[in-house]
Amino acid sequence: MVAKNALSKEIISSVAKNNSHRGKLIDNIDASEKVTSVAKEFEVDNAKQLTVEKTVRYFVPPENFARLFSGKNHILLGSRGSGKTTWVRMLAHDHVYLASKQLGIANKYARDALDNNFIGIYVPTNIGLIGSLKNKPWQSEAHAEQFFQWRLNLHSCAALIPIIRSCIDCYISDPYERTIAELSICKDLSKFWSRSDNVRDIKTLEALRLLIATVETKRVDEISRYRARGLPMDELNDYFDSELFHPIKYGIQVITYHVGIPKEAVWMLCIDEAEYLTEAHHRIINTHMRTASENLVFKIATMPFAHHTMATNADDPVREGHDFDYVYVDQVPIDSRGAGKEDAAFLRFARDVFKRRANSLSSNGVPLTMQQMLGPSPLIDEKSVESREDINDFMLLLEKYSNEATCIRARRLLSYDPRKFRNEILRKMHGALILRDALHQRVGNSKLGVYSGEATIVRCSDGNARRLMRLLNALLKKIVHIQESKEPISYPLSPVVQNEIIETIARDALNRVQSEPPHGVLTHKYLSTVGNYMKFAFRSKKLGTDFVSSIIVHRDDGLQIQQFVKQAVQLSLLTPSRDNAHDGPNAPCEGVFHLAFIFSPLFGFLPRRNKAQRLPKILNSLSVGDDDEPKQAVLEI
Amino acid sequence: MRFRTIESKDEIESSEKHYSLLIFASGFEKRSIFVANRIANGSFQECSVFGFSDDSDTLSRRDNDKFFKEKFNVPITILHDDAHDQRIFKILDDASKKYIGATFRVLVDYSAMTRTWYAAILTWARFAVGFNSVEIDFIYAAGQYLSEFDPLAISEIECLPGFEGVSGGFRSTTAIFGLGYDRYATLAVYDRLEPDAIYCCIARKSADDPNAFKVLTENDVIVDASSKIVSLPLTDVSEAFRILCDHVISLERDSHIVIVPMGPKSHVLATLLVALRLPWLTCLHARGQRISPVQVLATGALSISRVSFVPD
Repeated sequence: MVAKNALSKEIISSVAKNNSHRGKLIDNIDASEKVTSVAKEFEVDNAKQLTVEKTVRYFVPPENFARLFSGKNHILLGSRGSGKTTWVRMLAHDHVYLASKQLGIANKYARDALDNNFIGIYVPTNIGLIGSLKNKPWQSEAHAEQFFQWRLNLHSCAALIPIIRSCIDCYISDPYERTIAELSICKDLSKFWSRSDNVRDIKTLEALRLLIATVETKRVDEISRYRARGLPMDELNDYFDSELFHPIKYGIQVITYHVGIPKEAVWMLCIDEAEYLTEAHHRIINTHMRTASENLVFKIATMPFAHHTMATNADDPVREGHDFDYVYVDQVPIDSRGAGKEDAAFLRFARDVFKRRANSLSSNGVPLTMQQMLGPSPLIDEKSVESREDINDFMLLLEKYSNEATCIRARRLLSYDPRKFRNEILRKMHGALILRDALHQRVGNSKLGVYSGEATIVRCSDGNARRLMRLLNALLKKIVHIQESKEPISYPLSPVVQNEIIETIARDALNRVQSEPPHGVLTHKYLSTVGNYMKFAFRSKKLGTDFVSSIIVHRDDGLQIQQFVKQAVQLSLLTPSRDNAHDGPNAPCEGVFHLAFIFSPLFGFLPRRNKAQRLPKILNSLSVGDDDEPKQAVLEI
Repeated sequence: MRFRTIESKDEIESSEKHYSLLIFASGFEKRSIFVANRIANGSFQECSVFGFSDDSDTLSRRDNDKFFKEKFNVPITILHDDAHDQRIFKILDDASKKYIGATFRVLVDYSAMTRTWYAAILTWARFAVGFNSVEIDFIYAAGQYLSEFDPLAISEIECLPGFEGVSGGFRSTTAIFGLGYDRYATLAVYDRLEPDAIYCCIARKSADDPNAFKVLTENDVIVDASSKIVSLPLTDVSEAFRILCDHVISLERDSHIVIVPMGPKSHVLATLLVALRLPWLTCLHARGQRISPVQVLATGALSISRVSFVPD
């Protein structure tokens, strides 16, 4: 055991120094017991699938999260997998209450929120809610609106039930008084929710939940019966047909009274996945945001370009900055070259996520870091080219793969201005030359290993938490697989294995777009074209410092391009440049959009942001839909 | 009416005027007419043929329309998306009037039907009044795809009307996926649902059924994430119903339970029947289109399932 400990310490220490000890064995026995359980922690890659305890434990509060605890209405915009659901879930009072008990400065927001009586109610607009709104085309507009209000009222009140428990636990310390409060709340709410005085059996929150399920079942059944018999639907009516949000407001009053919550408490109705609602639904919700709703505010999560309208049912539309603020969940810089850099927030986030979920993965008490597991990134890490031999090697690659202008400039700067040579040639060209050389030397079915290392894995996550989780999960599963086949495990993981895993996930990400509503086929076709263009542009001629990594879109480029860009951004397959003008979330897209780095190993381009090309030009220069070599290409690099 | 039983039958009834009503769908697949070709003359009173509002020139559609018109001497009733269920209810209402106080017997060939149509037929039966019983023979001709098909481009994911289930107050979702060859469409629904727990169903004829192996390979992402794979017979809807019921009833009721049948139509029917029996289940339907439709031939295997409804 002593020898094992010594070996592990030696290896971890050497990996930490320069990650150059590929192939050495880490303490296999210790690690093998842990990896399977750690892999399971990464299997759950979205917040919906986590228990309250795990959601709280794994949550890494982003910088602008605490600002959501305010009396303002907020609309959270984020692509799929960016973390919107986690944000709105973490606003819910039961989550905040649990987070407040965790030590550390990271959870100070929760203690502050409780001190200031912010109480969030998380309303998951699950498929049962959304799917049932869309399947009745026979309804009149008035019926559809009425049904939406009924659904949202019912789901809001159902979402209140776990919050009643956490409010009782938070505000009442005496167990006897807690029981009395629960009984009183159940009695008052059940009377209204069932429209019956005969509710003596409803004495617990669980019974209250069953009551609401019964109301829902009865109504759904009645709707089917009325449809099948061709009866007018106007006769259907229960408590949840009240004016929208009236039932939840009444519920809040009941809880406030029986629990003794201060009158100045701010109640936050957190509605998730509003992108699946229609324009008419958004108009109704906007109307409620526009008009003062006492101490009830809205926190609504939706995708970019999916706050469908600013209109209300009154004369005035809602106005950003006045009636609500947008909060951008996605805007996390994704530079992955070192966590100390100012714009390396996502790398810090990724390391924190890894640490929280993989804390049991260690060797003799020394935790395995993500950096140790994945090693250096040949395409991204800044290479230390100091010795004459290093410089000679670099210049040889440069002469082989770069265009003449770049070579002449490099030679001149190397002689007269080494600092400029480092910044303008070495830093910009190093990764591109490594990639070009790897592609050049690839023979037959040999596999690449250049898309590997911590920085590449993090960068290929594109600032998207779920994508990061999927990549780490796949890597950990690979480790489990290696263990099961009794092969020795070495860290960092083989670059070829890492490269293969990113490429597999990229291929899957691209292919599954085809079935995505509403414009999956178009989005898949255009993404493939853009990827093939970048592949061709990078490989077809000698390199300069200006290869293409992004597209430029104008607002008048046509409907299909608008549909493509919007859907690709929503799926986190295009990233808008931070310099793009924001004319509101529903304005036509324009500006620069970066192709997701996850596609870099699939199409063989460098995971680095560089020059942008006009999208119509790309589409015109390649035969759209042809996945092989382009028939014609007009390149300006 | 109350859904009472489902039983598998070996043969289509051929006795004189056994069926009050026959219902077919004329689609673009050659198998659309396979069952109709096996209907004995004189074994029915009335016939109705549903037609899709699109695909009127696709593959075998014109030939199928012609066949139905000639064999049964009825026009094709085009069902539009926005009013299909009202039309179906009307056809069933009209055809059933003279059977009040008696048994209303229907044959439904759902081999080429969209699931919203046969879901509407079940909804009608559920709320029909005045009959001694309603007996529906659902018939399915197993198919053979003549080529690989494009991914389904989904336009909408919605609950099947009448099968919405109970969804309020749940923070977690349990999904039961019926798997087929549609890898990406299933993944799109999976991404939309983000379920907490997953169970999968596949059609498996034997332990080494190559089709079952292909389905598992196509759906490896979902299979990897699932807690259990349940094997169901392809053509015995009664047995598939029993296995599904046994499985679903054992699931905890503390999460929203959603069934996503993406596999063979016989399993879709079994799923709908399970949801009739266990009304808290939500049945989902991914609506969409394929760029290139694929020809489907009948293999010759028939699934005949008699579903009976009796007064409450």
